[in-house]
Amino acid sequence: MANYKELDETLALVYDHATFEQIQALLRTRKGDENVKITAETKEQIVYKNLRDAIDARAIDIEKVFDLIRDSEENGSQHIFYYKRKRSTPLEALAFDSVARQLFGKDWETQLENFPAIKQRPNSYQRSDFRKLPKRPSDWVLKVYGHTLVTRFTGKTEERQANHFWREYVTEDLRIVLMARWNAPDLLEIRVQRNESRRRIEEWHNRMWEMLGPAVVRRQFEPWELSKGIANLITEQRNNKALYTFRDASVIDKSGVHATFQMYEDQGGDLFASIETRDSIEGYLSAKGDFKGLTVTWEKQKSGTPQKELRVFLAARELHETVVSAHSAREDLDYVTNQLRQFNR
Amino acid sequence: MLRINFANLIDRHREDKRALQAIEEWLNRHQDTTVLYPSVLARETSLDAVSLAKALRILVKEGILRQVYKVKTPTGVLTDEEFNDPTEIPEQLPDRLNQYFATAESDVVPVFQMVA
Repeated sequence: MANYKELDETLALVYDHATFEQIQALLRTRKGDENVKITAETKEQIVYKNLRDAIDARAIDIEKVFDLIRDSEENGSQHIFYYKRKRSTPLEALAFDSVARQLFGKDWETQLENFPAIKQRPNSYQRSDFRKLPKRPSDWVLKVYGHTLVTRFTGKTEERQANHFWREYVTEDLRIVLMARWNAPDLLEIRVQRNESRRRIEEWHNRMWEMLGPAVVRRQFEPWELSKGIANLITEQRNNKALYTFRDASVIDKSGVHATFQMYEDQGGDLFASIETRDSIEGYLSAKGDFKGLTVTWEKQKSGTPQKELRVFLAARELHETVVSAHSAREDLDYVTNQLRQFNR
Repeated sequence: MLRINFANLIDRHREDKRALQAIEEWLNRHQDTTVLYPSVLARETSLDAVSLAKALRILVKEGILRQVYKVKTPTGVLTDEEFNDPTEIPEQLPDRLNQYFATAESDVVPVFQMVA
């Protein structure tokens, strides 16, 4: 590590993006080393004490820490917009080399040697990584880092004189991570980090399409809507209890009545544990109710994928949009995409 | 579930033996549990609040559990987001249907996760 300032920035990224378990897994790779302590009471402690000490003692290579940041910021706490390749779009146009040449020019191979670019430029968006995925040589990822300043209301309002109210706003840095994930041969994911502002989500979604151009453009795809998948997941849940359960559902019937079903997690978290709820949701489905969101809990599997249960909110705002709230392993998110492919046929 | 050597723990914390044993028995009945909710433990172990809190604190100190905080949404369920400290809770959070709500008047609930 060149200096302490960089290490501080790196650790801050780890703290923001990696889970406690991911950090612990990294430390565990050097279990037995006297400079590596694996247990900690808090995330702050494991990042700013255990991991820092391990890096300072050179027990953990800083490159491994960068890998941890990349893995954790790319998978989870995101909106994922799914797009399906149109039949008229040749598959070769989406091959890694073809996309790389169009995005980075003739000397693309030299340019890619400088990736990943961890550092950001202020007030701009930049392509920071473009790579193939291990074990999936036809798939690729394009990552974009953005930075902007946002002004937000702090929630404080003060009456300073009669009929005059002062609202407090602060300006803050906002680091943005956007991503496109190509799942050959037909599915493109646009991943956008979560934010309370829907306007920003849509702006970032559009920005990612801009950053994909001219190699990959929206007209080559159509939104991959999950309505059929949601219907199949509901009707086939009885036979797939070991694969998935439901936790929340929101539906509007033909008369415009909006019903929401939610399960308390300390009571098991399985919506269909209640026969009445199952019957109701199946009733809405057969009456062609419009699903406005369904949380599917993909259960941990003995095969190791998913490594732990993973919740995905389907049809979040649009039918081709999902929200993954927790940070996850890349393989686990790929597993969900594969499951959705099966159920959305 | 991670196997915990409760015998050693109880040896080191004799005064909390009853509460630790109650948690051990509860964990044996719920082998797939990865998250412990104090409300469930209180209901199903009949431990009083102080004994339960002390035993959970010991398990955190021993690195067996990790304490995080969650926020109750306006519909009374817990958010997916968890925080290491209540001071980290932002002014707005998404509920489980991805609708953002103001957290200022929401209840904050401690939750204990098994450390792998």
